[in-house]
Formats: sequence, C-alpha cells, structure tokens
Amino acid sequence: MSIRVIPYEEARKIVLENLRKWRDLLPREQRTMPFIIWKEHVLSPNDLVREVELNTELGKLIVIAEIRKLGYEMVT
Amino acid sequence: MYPTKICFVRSAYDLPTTYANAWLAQVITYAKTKGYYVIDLENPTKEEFEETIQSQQPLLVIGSGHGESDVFAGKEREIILKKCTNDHLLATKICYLIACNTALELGPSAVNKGALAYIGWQEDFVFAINAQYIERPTEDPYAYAFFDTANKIGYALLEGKTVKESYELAIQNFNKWIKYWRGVGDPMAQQIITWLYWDRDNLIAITKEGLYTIPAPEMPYNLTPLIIMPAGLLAVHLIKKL
Repeated sequence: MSIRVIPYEEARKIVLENLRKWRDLLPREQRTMPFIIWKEHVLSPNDLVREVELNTELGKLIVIAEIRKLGYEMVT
Repeated sequence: MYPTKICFVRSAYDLPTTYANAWLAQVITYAKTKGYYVIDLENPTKEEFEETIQSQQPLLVIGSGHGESDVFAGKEREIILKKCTNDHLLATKICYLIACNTALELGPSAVNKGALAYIGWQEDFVFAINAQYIERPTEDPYAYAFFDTANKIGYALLEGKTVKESYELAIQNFNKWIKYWRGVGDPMAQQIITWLYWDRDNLIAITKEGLYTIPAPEMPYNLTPLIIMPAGLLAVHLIKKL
C-alpha cells in the first residue's frame, strides 16, 4: 500500500467526518465521559471532536495521528 | 558483589501521573524480586533527585511523570532534570522515562553528555482510560495496552536485555495490542488504536551508536528509508507550520 499525500485541510475534513461518525454512534452518556489523556488534560469523545473543529494544537495532533492511521501523509 | 542499583523516579499528583505511577509500581516490585538494589524516589524535588543520582550512581534510571522536550518534572511539576543543566548526571547510565516529549531534546543531550542510552517519547505520550476504573488504574482495560507496553521496556532492561532488544520488544507489544483492539467490538477501539499507533511511532531509543526508530512492520503504508521522518518530528514540524 503506498502513501497517499493530501493537504492538511483535506485531512482535517476526513478526520472530522470520521470522528463525528464514531462519536455519534456512542451511547449519549459515553460521549462526555473521560477517555483520552493528553498531557494534563482529560478529554471525552465530545472534546476530541471539538478540538478538531476548533483546530487547536491538540486538534492538529489528532488530525496527524488519525490520518497516519488511515494511511495518509500530509503536505502543508 | 553488590547488587546493581536501579533508581525509580515517579510522581503522582494528577490523573496522568497517578496512572503512570501505579503502573510503574509493578516494575519496581519486579526489580525487587530480581534482587536489584532499588532506590524509589517518589515525588522527588530537584535537590533530592540530584543528590540521589550523584551519591548512588545507579546503572538504570527509570521514571514516570510530566515532560517537555527539554525537561522532566518531579514533585508537583518541579523540573528535576533539564537539558544542559543537570543532564550530565545521567552519564554512564541508561535512562528510560515514561513522559511526553523528552526524547526530542533532553534525551539526545543526555547521550551527548555520556548517558549510555535514553529511551522515551519524542511526542506526547497519549493514553486512553475507562472512567469506571479511575480508582484502579492497573485494572483499566483501556489503559492496559499503553502501560503494559511501557512497562515492557522496564522489564526487558531489568532482565538484562539490550536497549535495542528492549525497544523492539515494546514495538512488538504495541503491534500485538493494535491487533487485539482491531478484533474487539468495543466502540472505543478505533480511538485506542489511533493512540497506540501514535505512541508506538513516537517511541525512540537513543544510544551513542545511533537511534532506534524502526518503522513497524504493520504500518499501513511503506516508507523508504530516505523519506522516513520520525512521527514526532513530523508532527512538530507540521504544527509549527500550520
């Protein structure tokens, strides 16, 4: 499988779509429960989606991590 | 003959450090059963850390806590180890830190000053938790894969494995857990896999002979050696540009 290279904004769009789909399938109460630990922050599934929506530092990191898992590399 | 000295440096004052601390306790127990002379520095200040390393001269320094690219923190985020300030204390020692980012600057600097090796993460060490297990971190099924792998390196070093072997065992363990979570029906699995990939790809071992950042065999794409850029460096580069 070869690398698919895409621009960051496209990557963000793909990741956001995937994350929203995943979050929306979770039981409502699970969407706000602590789940991911990043530095001193505790993030719920809703928080993960929000970070990408707001394009924060963590949001960018989530995009990079997710897009690599999906088999893409990014160019800026 | 005196037993080999191992120094554990750990702190616990928030959720991430409490988890890491609880898991590292298992490695400490193992070190004791193996007959090592164990020095257990819990919530150390910089002064306590420096005094202990200087006076005890352990072969191995294994720690958990918060980190940044050039620092490692102890008690209540007090910086106890800093690039070009006191990292010379790691000379002739192998250091492994379960912390964010320290392999970016602190690790290379320590090896330049004589550390035998430095194992750590060149990006944030991210992990998942199940909120129902916050009081029992070592039983947390979501955190298990992350810390089981982190501990693997400690166990391997205590068993006398080389830095390269210890690093490779951790990579294999990450791959084992990625495969496991791919086959689990838990709705959280896809995110757990994301961060297992992340932690796997950002783990690095630095020795005088070079770096161990072997691309894992289960990566979903192929990278040629010429374009390999460790994931963390790439992330830093991208985030700075964005």
